[in-house]
Amino acid sequence: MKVLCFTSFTFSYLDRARVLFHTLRQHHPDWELVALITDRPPPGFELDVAAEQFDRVVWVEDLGIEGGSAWLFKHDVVEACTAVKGPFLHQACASGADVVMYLDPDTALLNPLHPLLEELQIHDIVLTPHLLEPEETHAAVLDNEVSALRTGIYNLGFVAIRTTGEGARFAKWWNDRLLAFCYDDIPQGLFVDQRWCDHVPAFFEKVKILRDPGYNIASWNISRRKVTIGQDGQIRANGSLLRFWHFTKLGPVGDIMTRRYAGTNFEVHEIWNWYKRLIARFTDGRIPARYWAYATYADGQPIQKGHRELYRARGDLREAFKDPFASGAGSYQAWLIGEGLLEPQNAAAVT
Amino acid sequence: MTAQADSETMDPVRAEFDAAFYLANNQDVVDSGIDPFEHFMTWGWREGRDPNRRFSIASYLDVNPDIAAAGVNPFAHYVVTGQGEGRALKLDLGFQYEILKSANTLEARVQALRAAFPDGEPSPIEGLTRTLKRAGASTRLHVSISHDNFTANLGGVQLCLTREAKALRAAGSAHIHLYPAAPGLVIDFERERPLIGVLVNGKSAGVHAAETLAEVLGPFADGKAFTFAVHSFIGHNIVGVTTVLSAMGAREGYYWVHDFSSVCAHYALLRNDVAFCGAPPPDSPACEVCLYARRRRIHLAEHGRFFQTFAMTVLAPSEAALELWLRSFPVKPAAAKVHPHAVLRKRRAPAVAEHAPGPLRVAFLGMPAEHKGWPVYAKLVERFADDPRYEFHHLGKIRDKAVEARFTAIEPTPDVAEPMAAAVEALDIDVAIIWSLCPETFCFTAYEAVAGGAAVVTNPDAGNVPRFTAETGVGKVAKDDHALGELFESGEILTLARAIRGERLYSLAYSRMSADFILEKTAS
Repeated sequence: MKVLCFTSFTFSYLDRARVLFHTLRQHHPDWELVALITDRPPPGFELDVAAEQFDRVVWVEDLGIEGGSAWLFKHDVVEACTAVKGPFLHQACASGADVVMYLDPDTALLNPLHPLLEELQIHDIVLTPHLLEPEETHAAVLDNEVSALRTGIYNLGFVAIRTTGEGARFAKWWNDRLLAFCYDDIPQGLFVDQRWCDHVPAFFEKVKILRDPGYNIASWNISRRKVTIGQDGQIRANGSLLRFWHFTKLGPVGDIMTRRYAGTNFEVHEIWNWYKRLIARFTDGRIPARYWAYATYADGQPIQKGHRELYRARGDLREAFKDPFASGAGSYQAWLIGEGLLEPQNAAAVT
Repeated sequence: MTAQADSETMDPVRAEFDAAFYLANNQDVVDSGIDPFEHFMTWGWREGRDPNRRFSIASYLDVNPDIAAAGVNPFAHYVVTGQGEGRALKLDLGFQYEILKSANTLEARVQALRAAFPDGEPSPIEGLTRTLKRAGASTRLHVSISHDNFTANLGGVQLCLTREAKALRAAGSAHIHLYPAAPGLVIDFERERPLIGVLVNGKSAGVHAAETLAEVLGPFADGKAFTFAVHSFIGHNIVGVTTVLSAMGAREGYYWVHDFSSVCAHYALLRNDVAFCGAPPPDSPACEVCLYARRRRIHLAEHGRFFQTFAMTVLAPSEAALELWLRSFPVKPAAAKVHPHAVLRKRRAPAVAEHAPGPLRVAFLGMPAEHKGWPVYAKLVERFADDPRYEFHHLGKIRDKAVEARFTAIEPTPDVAEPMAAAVEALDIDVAIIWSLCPETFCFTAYEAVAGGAAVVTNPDAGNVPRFTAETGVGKVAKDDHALGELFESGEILTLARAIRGERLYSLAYSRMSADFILEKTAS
């Protein structure tokens, strides 16, 4: 079975993606690994694909998305990196692969994913729910169950499909929705690429909702998963082999959630420490923190989220400004300044 | 008593406040002369000063963020309402979390030690040749190899080496000891100029490069009945030691399993410093997440090559150590034997129970270190300190003042053969908690505890200790720290009181280590 596995990221997440690819290569040396990058390399940094553990890069431009930069401008970094998953997955169905799998860049494997391929002999789509069993405390219900009601039942840090049948039909549908509606707009019932997939069990046949606690462990489900590291060398979650971990929110916020929900399950912290060591190993100091090439106008002024939303709401603006990233006379940026919606960059610098 | 004084006495917050503790920790309050309770209630709690030994303001606020947000006196809140609501005093994530949180990686520690002990200059070769000449014309020569100069430090391995050297020298053998000139946490393969310290019949003969030693010791070993025993390669460059031994014509030797540094860079097999790993396959997920993984591969490869170069007889001080070693070391040794460092000899007939009734005397023996299970003991003490059934002790060299256990300083001295056993006997200790988190290959402490008349309570991962406890029949093996707590909660542990089980006292009869085999071989 030919497997293509991809992740979607910007350069500020290159360290995490490298860790993922490192663990994927370790457990699945024969898979085709693809880096889907919605970014441009920061000044002074050149991506040497030959030195990376993935096989190839697909840039956002390579997806041929209608509207190009105007489409991209409508999205913030999270929206953009999740939106491109749809078109890539859809296009990858014609790549010759039998199975296409997506993993978030902040996931990492600790055991091979072979059982998933067995599932894909029978099913066409595999999803992992955020939670596999009800929470037991009031705080955990709010933190985890209510949160999943807002952001989606299934965690789209992982999805695997067959490139034919229902898998291909799902990829086309997801592609269409993400091109049009991949926004973080919870009041409107949208949460990027994820909330859409609440529809999947109803819309598609041959869907496997994977209820194995060894997959997609994260701070939001650790309260109900006991992690053990045995003297046989295996790591298990509720007795199942640990396949992959989702290291959401690397840093103080993630640490607080892990502390709160891992309790005395110190093995969880051992796994986090391992991940942090790998991140340190794969970090490239030349990439500025929070860097994203599409975070600014051409002159370097940061793009405000509200101005992205305005642009996506108003067809007249999209019609008038085909390249909204441009600076200078006649640009969207100049229009915003003229309307008093944006302070000129120099003035902002003076104040 | 006035009405005001009466209400103050009844004030539950004041009742829980420990003025002596507060003053002992706040010299400025002593100096100011202000009533400590008034100080705490007015300023102290806002400044994070703790009101008694058991209540930490920082921990209470950490686990109860709503109290932190409310800005009320956390101690008063706990005493008046929090306690009744069942609020936790602290977020108890276990001592393992504390170790993992502060994880100073092995690599960082290795580099720090290397920086503290940079490559030095070798000593003049003349000193070595002169010392060798003075060693006399013995026809027999024994070389021992360990992680340090055993005559300069005190510990289990050092005592073993002392006995080995003494026995061989008494039998007329010359004795050379090789140790790394710079201390290490792991085997060395990175130093540009590793030097080896040399002792000849207990006298220092300087520090030298392996090539120099090969050049000088090669001819020195010529014509002599030559044996060698490796006690530890930690700190050594194994390739260098191999060069020296090969030049001396070595073909076979003894390897002592004092620890598991031949199997992993963590000599005690403590994965990430927190849990006994069981030496799983190096490519297993457990090893993958362990910070010793990379160096483990180096330890295995370097030791493996040594075992392929020389026909090694592996000597382990216990069955438990040998079994674990044999299943985790990749190269089959030429031979493997169990040879205990000591055995118990009955000292006097069981005494008639003449112990005054009183609490069960429970003790932790030795270094209050995490891998020795000190945090587990500390928690036990915290939980049962007020229980009249128990009296908690700590016998050792270093005191941990944070734990409410009666401390007795034990200083190793040449005058007392087993100072720990003597103290256990003198203090009438009923139970010694020996809670090593990792496998003890022998554990003199357990032997001394029993020699002094105490029962041993241990866990299944403590290597030879649970085996020894089963063999002696004096003590218990508790499945885990929860089960340990249950023994105390239920009172089942009280059956281990000397008065109930009867007292048996022993002395230790020590082996002569490798000398027992070498001299036996010579005699036959």
